[in-house]
Amino acid sequence: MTDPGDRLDAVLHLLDRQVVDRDGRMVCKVDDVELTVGLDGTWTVTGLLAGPPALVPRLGGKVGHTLEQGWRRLGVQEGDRLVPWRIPLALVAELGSGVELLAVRDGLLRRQTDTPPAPGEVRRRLNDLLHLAVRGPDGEPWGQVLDVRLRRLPSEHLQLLVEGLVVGRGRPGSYLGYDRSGDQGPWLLNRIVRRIHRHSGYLPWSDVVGIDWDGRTLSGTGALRPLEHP
Amino acid sequence: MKKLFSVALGILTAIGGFVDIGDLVTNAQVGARLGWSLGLVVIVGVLGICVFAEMSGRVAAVSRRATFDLVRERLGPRVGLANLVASMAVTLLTFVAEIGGVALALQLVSSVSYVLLVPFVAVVVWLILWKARFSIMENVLGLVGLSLVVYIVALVQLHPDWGHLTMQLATVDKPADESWSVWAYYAVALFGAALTPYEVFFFSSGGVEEKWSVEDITTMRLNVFLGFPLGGLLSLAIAGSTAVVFGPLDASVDTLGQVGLPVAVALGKIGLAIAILGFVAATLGAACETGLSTGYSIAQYFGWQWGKYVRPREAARFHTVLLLVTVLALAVLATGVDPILVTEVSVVFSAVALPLTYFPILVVANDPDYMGTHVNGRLANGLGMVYLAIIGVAAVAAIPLMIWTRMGA
Repeated sequence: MTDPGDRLDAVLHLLDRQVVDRDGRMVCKVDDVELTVGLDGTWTVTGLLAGPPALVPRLGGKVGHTLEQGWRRLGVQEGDRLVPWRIPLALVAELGSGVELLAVRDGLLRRQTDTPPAPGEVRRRLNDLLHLAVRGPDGEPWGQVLDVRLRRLPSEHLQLLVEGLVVGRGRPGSYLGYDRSGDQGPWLLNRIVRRIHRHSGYLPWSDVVGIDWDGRTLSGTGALRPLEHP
Repeated sequence: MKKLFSVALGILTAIGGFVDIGDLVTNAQVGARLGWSLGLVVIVGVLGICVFAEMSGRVAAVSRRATFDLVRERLGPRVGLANLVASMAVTLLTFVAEIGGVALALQLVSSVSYVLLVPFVAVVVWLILWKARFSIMENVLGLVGLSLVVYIVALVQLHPDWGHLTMQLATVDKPADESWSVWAYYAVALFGAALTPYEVFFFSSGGVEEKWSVEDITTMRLNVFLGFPLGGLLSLAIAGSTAVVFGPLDASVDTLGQVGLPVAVALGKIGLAIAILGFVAATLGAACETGLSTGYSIAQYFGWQWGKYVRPREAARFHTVLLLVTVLALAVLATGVDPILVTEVSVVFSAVALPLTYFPILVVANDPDYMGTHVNGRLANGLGMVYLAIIGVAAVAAIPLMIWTRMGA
């Protein structure tokens, strides 16, 4: 039995947070999170991604597409124009209201392609998982992936294992945290947002049957479980 | 003793820093046309900025995160970016108005056209942003801004009919020759002048600059709940004294000189000199705060190093933004646009932009993951929800009222 404090939701507690270095100097935002699929099929967080190549695709829609094309066009001659910066997770000292690093910021950021994954391992971004359509065993739509629940493994360095998914209809207000916490005030706001998100539920990673990346769908088995605060 | 001194200093600078070009112009215009019939709006607005600032100050003290960190974390990068663009447009407008206000105040003294003074003011503002220590900037300009207390003296010296003024305030008794739509337009404008979004960007980022911690929450609350209401008294005094001088004349206030006129009538040259000193300090202080707020907010959204607690070379992007916005404001003012007009527009759009940052702060102030045990209590949440409704109504009503009344014409 692990301490419940060892769990966190990637979007709610990690994404978009400020990264600060050992001396308290600001480095970047967590624009996206690097996930690695190991040889044994486990998904772990292996790095933080930063810079326009990580942020702009998250804007989504027409605006995001236009901005991404614009960003590329401003430097077509650069081979790594669309490769984000990467901070290995091993450099993270602490996760709080910000992300504290063990290193100093000068010259810290490297392109993601500078450190390729181990043979056989596949890298994904958190943003690849988010908004995947989720279907139940009979193909019925459950909604889409809204968040990814992570578990902190007991070890010297920070290690985060993907443990499950928050699935819901993707209506506004899913970054506010009310869908996962019934007693976070103000009361009226809480009731309204929870009502909007009443279809949201939790899908343990063990219930994920497969992911069709081209069709942008994820198939689950069993049933969605009630959503609780990590 | 040292603690007491710092608390007193904080309250005094909060009073002196409360009034900016928006408060000066809007309160004088309202006083001339509507007397104290909008006094309740000033009181509601001042309580609103207290509620908003207390929450954002507490969030800054506990989580060490300022407004636009939280906007992006709670609204996501897409809505957060739209929010940033809108908030920065309004803050830039206010920045232009403040720099123009400093130039207008100096024009009163020097009789040199404000357009020629703007480059000088812009350079001074930029030098302060680049060189001056945060605490010195805050304390000096805040304390000199206190000279606007001269308006309270002026109001007393003008021997107004206090019974009539308080009656107007208590019963929302607008003069018969003004329509309710004009009253509503100025209500929104006054509300926007009292609750300008930059005040909270600056207040929360300033808290991080000054390294507030949980122990500083009490001091912060004293500054907010004593300093801001006393600053609000200055607003009422400006409206009251212009009501006494301009009310019977049926004249409107269109220049900064007219804003100062009641003090000149009541106290003569010396009074006017003190008032102009107050104009310069209040608008210069607000110009620095708005300028810094644009740098703070943009850097916070993108994760760049910001703040005056590090050397400029360590926050190069932040200081580049500050330089660019100062040049931009200078360019806008060089067209000869009337800073008073810019002010009138900026306070209305402040009311429009307010919910964008108020809402995420209200949510985070309730989130135990950020705040631990320092989440909002019942009172903060009760007031917080009431103000969410008021701010929402003001934001929706602002632009239709502006068009409907042709800016109160």
